[in-house]
Amino acid sequence: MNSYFKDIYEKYHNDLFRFLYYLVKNREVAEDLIQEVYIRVLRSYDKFEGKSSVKTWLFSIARNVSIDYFRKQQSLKDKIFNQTDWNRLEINDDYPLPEEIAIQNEEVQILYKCLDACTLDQRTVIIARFIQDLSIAETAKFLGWSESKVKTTQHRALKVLRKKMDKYKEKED
Amino acid sequence: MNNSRKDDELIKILRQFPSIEDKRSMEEVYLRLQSKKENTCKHHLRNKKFLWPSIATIAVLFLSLFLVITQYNQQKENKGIPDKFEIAQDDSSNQTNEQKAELFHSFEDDSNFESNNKKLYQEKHAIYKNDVHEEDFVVTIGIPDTDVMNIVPISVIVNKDRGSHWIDYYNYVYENIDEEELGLYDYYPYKGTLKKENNQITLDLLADHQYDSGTSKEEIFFKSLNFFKYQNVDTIFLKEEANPGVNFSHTGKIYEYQINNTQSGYLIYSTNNYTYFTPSPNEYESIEDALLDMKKENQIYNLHPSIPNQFNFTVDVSNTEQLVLIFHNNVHLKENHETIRMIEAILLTAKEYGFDTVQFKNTNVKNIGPFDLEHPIQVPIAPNPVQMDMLE
Repeated sequence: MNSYFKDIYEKYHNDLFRFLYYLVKNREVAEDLIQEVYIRVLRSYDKFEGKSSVKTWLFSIARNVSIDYFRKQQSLKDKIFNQTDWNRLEINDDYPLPEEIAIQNEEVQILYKCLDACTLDQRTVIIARFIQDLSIAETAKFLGWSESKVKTTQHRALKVLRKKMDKYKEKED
Repeated sequence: MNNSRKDDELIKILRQFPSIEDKRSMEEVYLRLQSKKENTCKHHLRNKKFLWPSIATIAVLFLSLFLVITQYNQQKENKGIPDKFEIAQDDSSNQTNEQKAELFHSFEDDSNFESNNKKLYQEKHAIYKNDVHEEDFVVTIGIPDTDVMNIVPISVIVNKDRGSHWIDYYNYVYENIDEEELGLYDYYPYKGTLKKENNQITLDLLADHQYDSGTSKEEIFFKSLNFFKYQNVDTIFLKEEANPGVNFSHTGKIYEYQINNTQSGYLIYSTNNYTYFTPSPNEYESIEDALLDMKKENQIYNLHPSIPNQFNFTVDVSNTEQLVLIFHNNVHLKENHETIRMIEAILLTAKEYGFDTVQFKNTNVKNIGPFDLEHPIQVPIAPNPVQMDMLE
């Protein structure tokens, strides 16, 4: 077994899988995407210059892999790639709740569903910041953004989630 | 509740999200990784639900293939059936796999030096000016290895009566090359047509070409186009079903592909039966850096050093046509496969960096195999010659 693979797997596999899973909300797809992440990592490991941490480098690869995935999904619906705006793209899926979520309290279940209302960028920031527990600086680094852009996106994402949660509660009432 | 407090509540709930884990073991992931790498260039769709039966089937097929090859080689030994492909000028076609492996791998085997001297003389892994006659044309193409990590340059000498333009010779090789026989990936012919249109070299792809279905497929496709540099081509025009431009999901729409002429040193890639010179993935502007890179193992790409680490030298590049390589005093060259390989790898690298000849200095021997070290040596035309059996 390749020693780089083993090293990265042991240290980061769980983090990368969780990140990809919450982005695509499908175990099978997340499994496929993480394979692609490893292929890219093994291809370019010797080019990794150490300017960022291995962790942020890996997350940036995972993000690119997920963008490619959504782009392909999008291209099935809409062949015009160039007009796809990742800031605006909303991800909607019809997957059932995974068992890990289904056993959680109702608020977790609803918020998990509400994530669909976020754009890909918003969802990425929310996952990175509050599920992966990355700092603003780490998130900015792997996204290649400024810290203020991360903060703004996080703010907007929370607003989207807040509104969506309110709508859910209104329905219940 | 104000918005800020609501946000705090949301963040609190987000932090309760469970840690969803991959249920597969590290070994499973690695196995799938290997399988995926091998399948990167396959043109068939795989149903994920049948992954495990597929792996089992592949294992059975692999074992069957192994048995068939073993039996075939035994028969070949008895009957003397020639290989469809042979490494050019290698007289070992009637040897068993084990003997072949020995020939390609046992660099330090000096005990049989006397008996191997003839083989050593014949063992060249590049095509040189003297190897090519007037009626010959050298076609060099890049074939992915089985892990689809490297693109191995393979050169075939084609008789010019097979066409009127170099494109004809290339198409002939694409059609007839048996990559798997060479221990490489079944990649050619392109799903499309290579032709000359209005003095432009055009690759017109079919609608179902699938070179755009994944980053690595795109990367390998473009890398394969880079091998047209051997014909001094700098641009390939891409079409799909006769319409200009091909959409690549990662790269975008490409109408003209500019050949990437980056330079690097040559390392060694070995399959079970053959050993090939393969460009290093590390690109360098200076030949000094490229030569130093040739001393290093590249584990990720599974490439081996072509220059022994203990061999130290300095280079003089003041003459742009001739590279002068001066070995340090403590270097003692031995006449063996390893040294021949090193010399050829240096010659090929010198060619990459635009030199016509290489002069080796401060060598303790006058000749190594076919190479006269006392005089400047002409750089080769192309690496890794294979002979294609024209009598099929």
